[in-house]
Amino acid sequence: MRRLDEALSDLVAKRRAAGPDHLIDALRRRLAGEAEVVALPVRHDMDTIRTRSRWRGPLIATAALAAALLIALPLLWLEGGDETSRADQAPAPTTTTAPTTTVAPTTTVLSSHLEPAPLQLGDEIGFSQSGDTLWVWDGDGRVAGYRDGVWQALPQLADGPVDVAGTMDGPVWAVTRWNLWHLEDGDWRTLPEEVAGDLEPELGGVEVDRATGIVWVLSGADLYRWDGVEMSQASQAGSSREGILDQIVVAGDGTIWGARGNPYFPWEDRLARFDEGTSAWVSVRPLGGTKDLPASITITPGGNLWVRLPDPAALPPDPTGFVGAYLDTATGEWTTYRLSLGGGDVVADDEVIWADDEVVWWQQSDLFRFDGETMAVFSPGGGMLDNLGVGSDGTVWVTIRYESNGVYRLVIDEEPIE
Amino acid sequence: MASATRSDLCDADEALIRELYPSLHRFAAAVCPSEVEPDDLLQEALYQVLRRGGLGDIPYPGAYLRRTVSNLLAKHWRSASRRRRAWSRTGATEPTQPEYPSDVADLLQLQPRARAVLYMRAIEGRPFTEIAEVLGCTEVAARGLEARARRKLRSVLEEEAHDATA
Repeated sequence: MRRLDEALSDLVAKRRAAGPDHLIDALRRRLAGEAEVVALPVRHDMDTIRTRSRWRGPLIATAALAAALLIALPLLWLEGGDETSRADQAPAPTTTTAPTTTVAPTTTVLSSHLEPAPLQLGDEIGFSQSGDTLWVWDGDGRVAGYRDGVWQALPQLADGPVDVAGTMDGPVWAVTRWNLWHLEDGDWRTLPEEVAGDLEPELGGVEVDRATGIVWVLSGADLYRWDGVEMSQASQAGSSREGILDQIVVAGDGTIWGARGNPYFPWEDRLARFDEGTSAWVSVRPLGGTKDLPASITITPGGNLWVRLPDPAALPPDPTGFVGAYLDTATGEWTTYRLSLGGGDVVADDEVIWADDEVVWWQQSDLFRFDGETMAVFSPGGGMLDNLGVGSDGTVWVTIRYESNGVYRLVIDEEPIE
Repeated sequence: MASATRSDLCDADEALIRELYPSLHRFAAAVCPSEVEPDDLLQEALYQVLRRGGLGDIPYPGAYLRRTVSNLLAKHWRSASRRRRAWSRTGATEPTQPEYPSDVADLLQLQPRARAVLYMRAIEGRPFTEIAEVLGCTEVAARGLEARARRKLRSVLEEEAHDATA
């Protein structure tokens, strides 16, 4: 076995180097290209890479003005796209898609800090929200749930979960890449092979219908249904293959919603609803996800369906901006909020969490919270943020990239910063 | 202070890029996944920085650009995971990656930040204080990262050895 430094040197030597001339030429072309669009009222008017506090105020004001001026553009874009060219072989959706849009939010900056959660976790921490419980896990299979102000650790799984669902006082299910697990008598167990044998790796997600106890599992390209006795393939074979089912959520009324993407044709992202009668996915509306920012969907503890979309007004495409859209599943009313982060220092992450009627997201070391009217900005310190989860009580939990493996609570001091 | 938005490179920036290119390219080559060209990664990092100001405005541009590369890869890692899940559901085969000898392939199994700390430590011989600065963490966290990366690499190699003898 070779020494580590030799292997690393070998790795470096095998990568092609085009040379600084090629790099400089490419940079000149890109910078010249961007200069042509800076007159557009988008977020490329920041003046330094290190002065967030100074440019945040004017920038947000500019973004708010831009949002008001461009309010029609995202709507045109969201309503655009071909609804029928690759439509599902299924009945038309029962929901309407009439949009309404709010104006840009007002902004307030609040002081805050982070406090560590009483959890011992390793790398690759993930969050998922299921009913009133916020689940957190790490790559070594440690799992804990948060509800009503209390963290409770569960037994360790044999592998790192991909998703966890259920509630603290009910059945808890988890999927790892290869197995579906449930918590029984204080330990994780898999279903017998004769029951779970149809599940194909990789498993992509799990959801529990709180009303019926039915467990929905994303397996390969299809949706499977476990009713406590039988595991059956719920979606017709191939019904989700035209647009790949990338995410499922179960609403309070039992409706299964899916976000569908296609790595070849990202503009064909769809919001879809599963029709149990026909065992098919019903396309509800186009979402317009991009490679950099696929659309994502969330059911809040209050039962509301929120969708995160790319910001269509950002030119060139900028994953730091997005449109939050709220679908009233009872009336079909579709409300969109254009939310801009204000550009990134270096790079943005794309995780966005909806908590009841609030949306929380982060960029670098800043957190943002929008309640439908006001956008609050927090800079709690402690390092670069890496992941985010929100409890049903509104508590915001984050992880810090590189700095540590812990989970931290955002403590808001409620003192506006002038 | 830098101008609002850059439309071209100044001579000082160009000179600095030429000076930093060899070491930055080696760093990018060590940490980026096989499907990403190190030059592309470096170009993106430089573009992210230059669009908002000159390199001369940054006290330690080499370290800052390494940190930018590292941040870009963290984002790429997330997107790649999501894409892999999507590919797995198509029933189609993901495009094949270039093949490397097994020990290089083993290194590629490590996360970019793990490779970054190993490269800066084993090849560049940087102190943990400097590695911590590049990765945006404490010195203790950088040491922990390196220890975990070595442990993970050892585990991958042991698994391989076990499979080979089985």
